[in-house]
Amino acid sequence: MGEAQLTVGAHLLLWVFPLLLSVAAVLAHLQGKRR
Amino acid sequence: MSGGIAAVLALYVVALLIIAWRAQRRTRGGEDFHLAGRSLGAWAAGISSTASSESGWVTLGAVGMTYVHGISGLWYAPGCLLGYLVNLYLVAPRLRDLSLQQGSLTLADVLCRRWGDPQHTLRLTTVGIVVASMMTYVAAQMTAAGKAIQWSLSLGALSLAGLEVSPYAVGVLVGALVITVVTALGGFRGVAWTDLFQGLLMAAALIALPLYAVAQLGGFGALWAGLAAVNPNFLTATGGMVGPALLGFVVGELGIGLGYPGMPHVVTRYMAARSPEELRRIRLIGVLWGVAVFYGAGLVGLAARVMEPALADPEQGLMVLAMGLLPPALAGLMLAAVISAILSTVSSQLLVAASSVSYDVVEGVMGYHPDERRSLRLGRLTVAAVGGVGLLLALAESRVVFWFVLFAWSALGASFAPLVLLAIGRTAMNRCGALAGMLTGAGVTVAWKIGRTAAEAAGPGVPLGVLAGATVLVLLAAATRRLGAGNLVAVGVATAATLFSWGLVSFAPLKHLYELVPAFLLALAAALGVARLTRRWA
Repeated sequence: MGEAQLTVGAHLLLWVFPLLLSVAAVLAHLQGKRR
Repeated sequence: MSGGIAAVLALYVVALLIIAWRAQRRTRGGEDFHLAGRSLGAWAAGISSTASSESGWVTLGAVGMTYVHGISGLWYAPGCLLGYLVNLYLVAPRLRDLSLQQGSLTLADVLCRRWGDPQHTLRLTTVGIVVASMMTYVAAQMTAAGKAIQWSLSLGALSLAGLEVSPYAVGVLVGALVITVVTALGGFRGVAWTDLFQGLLMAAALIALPLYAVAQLGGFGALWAGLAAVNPNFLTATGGMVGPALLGFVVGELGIGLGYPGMPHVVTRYMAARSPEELRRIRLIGVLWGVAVFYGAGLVGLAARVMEPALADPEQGLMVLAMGLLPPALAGLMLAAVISAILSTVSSQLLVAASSVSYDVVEGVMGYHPDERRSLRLGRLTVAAVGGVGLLLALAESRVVFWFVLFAWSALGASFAPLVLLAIGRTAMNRCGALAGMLTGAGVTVAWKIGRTAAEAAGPGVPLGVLAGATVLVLLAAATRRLGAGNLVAVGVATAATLFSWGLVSFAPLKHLYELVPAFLLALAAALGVARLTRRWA
């Protein structure tokens, strides 16, 4: 147990994409608010 | 076991009815009933647009995807979220402005007023496609609700007035009755408010349940180890697929997103938003809700695969996990979330189908303009009628939920998404092009789906069916004096495009491709091509 590793593609699909998308949405929202 | 669960589900139904009753008291006329008087706030519009687009598919089908395919099953999530982005950032603001300028209440209304529709050809075609797709969709969702209710309450057969009723039928009856009453009473406002309640319940369940399950397993390391033990390919983004199979799978999953701009029950939410400022908040709420729900459902599927590796029906992963891990009251909440996903979609679709009939056909085409009170009554009666037909279809037990939902999704998406995008843009377009686009989208979806999956694909049935359909359309047009040159060109091009797609799908590598992708592209091409050909006539 504990040896299993996700591939790079799996990391991108599972964590990186949703995190980047959420951060981008929050930033876009805040920027729109400032205008 | 089922006592606590039944109590929670009963509370949930009571909450829905109370919300609908409150909305009913604020619903006074036609614009209220069909579009909540364009007064929706950000939370109601944001969550209800996303909750109604994610049907039982997300709590049942999406969970099944990662259960069966591992992490590679998650490709639907970026696909759907890209669709959200197009809808929220591109379609929502422009469609709201356009519908406000036109004074439109439904999607058919927007398209007809955008390109002119003196003979109601476009409106009747839109209504035909919307009602047919929504009925299938509603029936499929009621089937899913029936299964979920029956399963969660462990219902046995009941005997009503000497008549033996199967537990499945009891489930369908309860779900259909509640949602039809809620929709008919509350109209658009009731649907949006109940969607908000149900959407929040879905998000809470799909965040809490997978995190709790992963913690029970001993953390993400243990989850990956467990998945690798079942199949090492579960930890990859390709799932062990290569070549055309991989490409078709990924493009198809991403292609689900193409359908979003064409969903009448989703885009009407943006038309009902109170102000452009609300739209800005709707975007943030929509994206965050989408991320939580899609990835939560994916994680539930992964955790279920490790905890319950031998489920007969992978789509029941969430329910099995909830029952196994949680005390009855909390499990009841999870089941309420599953049923919420289904009912929030059904209510929106019932309303769209009813608006199509009562507003587009009776008021738009037949020219009957009732006063506010009668318009409201007409809307309510149509909701009840459409709900009744959906219930009968569901009782006939068309059981393969996922198949039907994807079919209706792609028919709506391919028929309307290209046109919504063209309507909010400046590309040269006219009503003949729009007609060609709609017919091509619907035709290619059906041909491609059958060509891809059905055994009868080998025979001449589909090409003959396409030609028969085209003949019926031409005869109908002739009988109702709508047989203009432009309409003939539109039907001709749609027929040719459908037959072309039928030839295309017989190539083995293309068999993996989800039908929405070719149907969307061909519909767009047909719309633009016919608009150019007929620019002198229309």
